Amino acid sequence: MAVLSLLEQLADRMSHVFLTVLNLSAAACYAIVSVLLLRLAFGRLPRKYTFFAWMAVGFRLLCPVSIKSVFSLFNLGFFDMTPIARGNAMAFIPYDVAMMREPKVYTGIAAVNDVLSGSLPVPDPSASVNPLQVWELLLTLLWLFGLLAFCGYAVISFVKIRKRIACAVPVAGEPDVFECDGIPSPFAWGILRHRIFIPFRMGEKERRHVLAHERAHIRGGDTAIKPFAFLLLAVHWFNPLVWAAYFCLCRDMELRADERVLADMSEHERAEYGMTLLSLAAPRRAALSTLGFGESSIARRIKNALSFKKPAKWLSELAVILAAVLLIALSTNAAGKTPGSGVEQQPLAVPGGRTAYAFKECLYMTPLSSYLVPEEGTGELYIRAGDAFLIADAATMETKAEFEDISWEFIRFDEEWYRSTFFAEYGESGGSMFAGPDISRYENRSYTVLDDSHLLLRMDEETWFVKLGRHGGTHAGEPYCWSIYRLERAE
Amino acid sequence: METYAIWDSEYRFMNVVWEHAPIGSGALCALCFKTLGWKKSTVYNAIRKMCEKGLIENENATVRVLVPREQVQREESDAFIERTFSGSLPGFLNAFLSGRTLSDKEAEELKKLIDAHRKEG
Repeated sequence: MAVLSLLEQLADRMSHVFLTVLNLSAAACYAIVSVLLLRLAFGRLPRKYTFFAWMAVGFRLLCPVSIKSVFSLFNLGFFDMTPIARGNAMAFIPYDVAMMREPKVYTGIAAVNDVLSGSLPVPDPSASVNPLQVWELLLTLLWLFGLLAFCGYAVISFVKIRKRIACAVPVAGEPDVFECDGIPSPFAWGILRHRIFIPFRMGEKERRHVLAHERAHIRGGDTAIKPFAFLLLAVHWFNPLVWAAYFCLCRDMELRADERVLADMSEHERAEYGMTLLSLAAPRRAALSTLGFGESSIARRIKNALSFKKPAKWLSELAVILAAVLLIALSTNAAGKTPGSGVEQQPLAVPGGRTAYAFKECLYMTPLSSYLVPEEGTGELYIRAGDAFLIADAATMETKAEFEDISWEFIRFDEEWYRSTFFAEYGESGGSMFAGPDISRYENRSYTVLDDSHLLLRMDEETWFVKLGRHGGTHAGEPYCWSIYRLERAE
Repeated sequence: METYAIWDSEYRFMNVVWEHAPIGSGALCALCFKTLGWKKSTVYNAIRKMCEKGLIENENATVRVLVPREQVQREESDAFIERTFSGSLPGFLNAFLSGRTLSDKEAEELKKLIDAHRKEG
């Protein structure tokens, strides 16, 4: 039994990690599509600028939280990020999706949400297992398997290259350059200690070009960027857009290294450089690993070399500014201007004013309850009016309950308080039975007391209405959570 | 006269052997580390390979030359690349990742383009 519950916990933890990765991937999709469109629109843009945009993509793939800014792409009119925002994180797929009575996923575009959510299996209340829970577990396992396969591939190619370069021999007069047998093309290697490996018997001119190119890679930090990007690809292997991003990034790295070399060359030398590229590409050989430096798209690079022009000064200054704006637009989250956030977040911001809330979803209902929230909601309005809080029937506007003399002082709380207040519901065995929402993803948590069995919680931008129960018997008087409703601002 | 074909890195190693043989394998390791930057295991690998090809012998920890320099040729390592690297990746990934194979026609066109620029420059 202990082993089983441990396995269950592990599966739970992994599913949570997987959902986090899915949400990272979803957030990154917007950045990737933007960068790909930009590359299409400005095909001739020097690659050193597109690098800013790739940084934003990398950030999105790696980091679940970001600051909010008005420059964010998600502030554009057709995005509705309210249901997605979770403090400084974004949940396109809610973490409790497998537990929802009506599973929902969000894209940021309302019309698409319904189509996607409609395709999810709806749980059958009489069945013991929700189909979505099974899917969640299966997909998590599949994802882990793919991740392991990628890591295995990386380790094997790493070992192969290490073995190959063990018998490389130093080149006289170039302390960081080695000649190596059995490599299809020159490559730079190493994150802290950089070395360049070239095939034997390269011509003097070719070697000069190749070394300049590889040193440009090293100066740009590409020998570290590439394995890092591969790692991100390994984590997001299920996302075709991340594959596209990986290959475009690799191509951009080659073009950027070329740009650096070409900038210091005369037109004649550039033609010679193109010739070197051609001569290296001529024999058809298999590609080397993803970890070193193979070549990509040689024809494009040759044409680039031939038509290379140093960008005008004003153009490069403009590009730097645009790139910086892009970096911010793609890596920050939407500023909260929508109802249910922003100004409203401040307690006591509207003393005496009225704010109405409608029921949005039931986050928890004690199994002791015989009342189940109907699918269309509770049909109640929750109104904050001055120092009072009213519950009214939405149809008749008849007041059903009233709480008075509320200080509206919101007190911050931690998970410890949450546990002791909500979890203390004792089953027959004496253990806690509370299975309410996980609050660890909320950053700003505070509560205000309505009366001794009702609380109003602010969870980042969300408002929760909580009913408490009181124990009898050995734990007489101790509170436990009866129900949690998520409310939403209503007009 | 029989000739032996070895790769460039092996040829460099053999240069050291030809110059200093007969030599103790420990001393050879030290020497190769100094001149080639090779690790011990790499040197022993090379000794084993050269023994297999019959160029040297290693008895009682002493390395001796069996074949003089004149009988040895360096081999282009291209064929060797084909053997070892093709098949290391699934075919479709290969084509996707490399994008570096050019057809003869494409290569010819690019050559013409470069030549045109060379005249201008």
